[in-house]
Amino acid sequence: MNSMLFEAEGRRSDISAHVLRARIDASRLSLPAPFDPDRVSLVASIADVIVRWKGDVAPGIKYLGFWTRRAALRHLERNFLERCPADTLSRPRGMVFHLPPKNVETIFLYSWILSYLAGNANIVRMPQAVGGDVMRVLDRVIAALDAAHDPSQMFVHYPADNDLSEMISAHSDARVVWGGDAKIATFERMPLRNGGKSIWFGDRSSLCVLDGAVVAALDGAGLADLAQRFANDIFLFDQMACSSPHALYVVGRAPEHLAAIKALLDLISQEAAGKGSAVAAGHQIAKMTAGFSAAASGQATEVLWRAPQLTSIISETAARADRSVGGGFLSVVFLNELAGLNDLLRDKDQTITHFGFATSDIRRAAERHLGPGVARWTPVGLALEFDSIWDGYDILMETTRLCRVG
Amino acid sequence: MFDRLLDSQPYSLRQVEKDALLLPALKDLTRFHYERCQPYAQIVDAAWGGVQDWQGLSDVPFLPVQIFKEHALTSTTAPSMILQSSGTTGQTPSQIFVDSETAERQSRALVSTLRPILGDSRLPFLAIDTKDVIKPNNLTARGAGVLGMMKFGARATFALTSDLEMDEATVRRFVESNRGRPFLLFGFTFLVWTKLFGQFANGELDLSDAILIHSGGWKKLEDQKVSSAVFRASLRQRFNLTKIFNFYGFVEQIGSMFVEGPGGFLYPPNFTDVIVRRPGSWEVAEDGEEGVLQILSLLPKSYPGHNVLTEDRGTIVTTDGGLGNRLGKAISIAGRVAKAELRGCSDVIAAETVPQATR
Repeated sequence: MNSMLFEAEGRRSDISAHVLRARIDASRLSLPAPFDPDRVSLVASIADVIVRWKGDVAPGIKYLGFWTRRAALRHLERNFLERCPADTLSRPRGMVFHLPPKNVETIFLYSWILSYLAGNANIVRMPQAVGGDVMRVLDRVIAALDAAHDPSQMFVHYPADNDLSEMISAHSDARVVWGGDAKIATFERMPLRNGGKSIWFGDRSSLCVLDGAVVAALDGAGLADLAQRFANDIFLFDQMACSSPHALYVVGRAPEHLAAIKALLDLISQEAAGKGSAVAAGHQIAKMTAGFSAAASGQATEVLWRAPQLTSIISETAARADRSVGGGFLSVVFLNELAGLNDLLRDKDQTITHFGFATSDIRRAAERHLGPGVARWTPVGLALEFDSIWDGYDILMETTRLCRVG
Repeated sequence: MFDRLLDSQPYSLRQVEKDALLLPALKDLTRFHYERCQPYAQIVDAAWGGVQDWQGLSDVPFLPVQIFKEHALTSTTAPSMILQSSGTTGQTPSQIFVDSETAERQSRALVSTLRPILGDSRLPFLAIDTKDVIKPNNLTARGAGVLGMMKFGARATFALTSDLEMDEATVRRFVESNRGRPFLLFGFTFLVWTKLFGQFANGELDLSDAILIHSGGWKKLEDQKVSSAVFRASLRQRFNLTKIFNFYGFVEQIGSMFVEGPGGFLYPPNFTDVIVRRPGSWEVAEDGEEGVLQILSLLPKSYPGHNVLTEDRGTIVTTDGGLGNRLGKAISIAGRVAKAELRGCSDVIAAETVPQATR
């Protein structure tokens, strides 16, 4: 089975499994230490290119440009070095195999950038087609790698093929698997070279918590600003990114705060409408059905289904909300106190976005949660901003190894 | 009210008269189900602000038809039959609870709707289906259709064997013995096309005396590039079959048939109506504007299916157009609404997985 190697200027070439294997094996032989200056410069050039783009830049790409600025990379490096213990050297792991999700397109870039900065050779299994903006970034990266005569970074596509995945795994020292539990189950059966390290990103979902009294006290501008940030968290990837909230827990009392929450939901819908967010009629019906179904099951006292962008169901009794409909569907649940949220958290919760609480209150809520689940508490509006510490993993740490020098 | 609507000619009412008759009846039905079906009452309360004095047909609460796949909604304590949607593999089918009263309403409605086509006498009946489709319990839409039509037939003959193959001898015998008088053919569009049309050559069967009533999704036929016009022309050429009536209906409202009439449009009989809505905002669309079809029917009493939003796209072509003396609305149907493919972190299918056995 051959695979397609992504080359500069959008070209693709066939590469046989045999040639690919040889290239993978050769790639780990000459690797730099983490944060090699040439590699940092190459990554920083992504930001330079994005900044100069004319016309509309998708929010995801804009953020990538922000994230790859030289100053941001310096910060990342400083932070990384500070965490290395004394009398210890940090070294790349070798060849890292990346399996990004098919649908959230920028993930593979972050996955690759971090592992590249860590000093590794990398092979990324790409989806067959990549969106225009993302492809422009990748073209730029490949051209820069060519100019640096660095063959140790490979972006390939091949159709579902366990033999090829097995071969690449067997010749890799680490593997980063994105895309959920089913994909993990497939790759778990494929051993890595010398018992290497896998990082798994399984099925996760996310939620939001607001202080009802604070929302009710917002003026028009404040509410509009909150709505705009909330809309970003929901609509950027049709609410299907793992870190997009599906449930909104409101600390407060429905009789006092429901009106303000409804005003917020209306504004979120308007924000999304302004962004031109629209899902197919079939999904509009699916959202309505999910709302009506919640009412039929006694899980919603009110269903707000007349806004095209956002369908919401309201529950005045504190209970876990688990409907992941996507495309603009929120389960709103009222809680008496923030501590009540802790009882409702589950293993597969990933990001909790919050608004209206003191930093110390959020800190305490995070500290109270000792079980598995919940990898991130972050303010509303930042749900989709990729962080080098993601889903419980410090990706730089995971893609390097430590060497004690005594 | 219901009786009056059934006894009149099916398309005899002007839209204003029809609205005026349907509104109070539909409001009564909504209250009827509200009092008898708790999950339905919970939906009306949460999504519609409770029972109200609705001022127009378009204000009366409706349910998305898929809700019958997720909830067993029933307003009767004595269901005599449970109908199921045929459902694509892997999908949960709808469950529709029918009791004797609703079954009777359905068959009276069927008679009222089909009388102009079939007349008053019972006709010899050939079902383009297998007798296995009318299993006593958990009837599918196909089965319920055949069972409903059997009430018109003197005695049903089934054209297909259990494995859905054409029983050619039986069909030839049926056609031969009914030569010279009208007889009824009924079946799902796809079966009529693949089995009846597909299994006989030109001139092999003379169906010039037949009346074909058919229904069912056009999707499979569209996939084979067979339009309604091609379907009609082909049957005419092969069998000299000219009396062909397509109808629109679905299992959640069995008995309500929108039969093809003048202009090739579909017409709601008096005891039903259709509203077209804009997807998303769900406002009522203008006449001539394509949207999602909402179908109202006075038949369902044993389950709250009297007012449902379908997954079908269509257009109100005329209102009170008067073509062939038909008043009320005339609609055309464009097909199913588009399904969404949402992006997301989780790969929807584990495309990486190659089944181990095939390796």
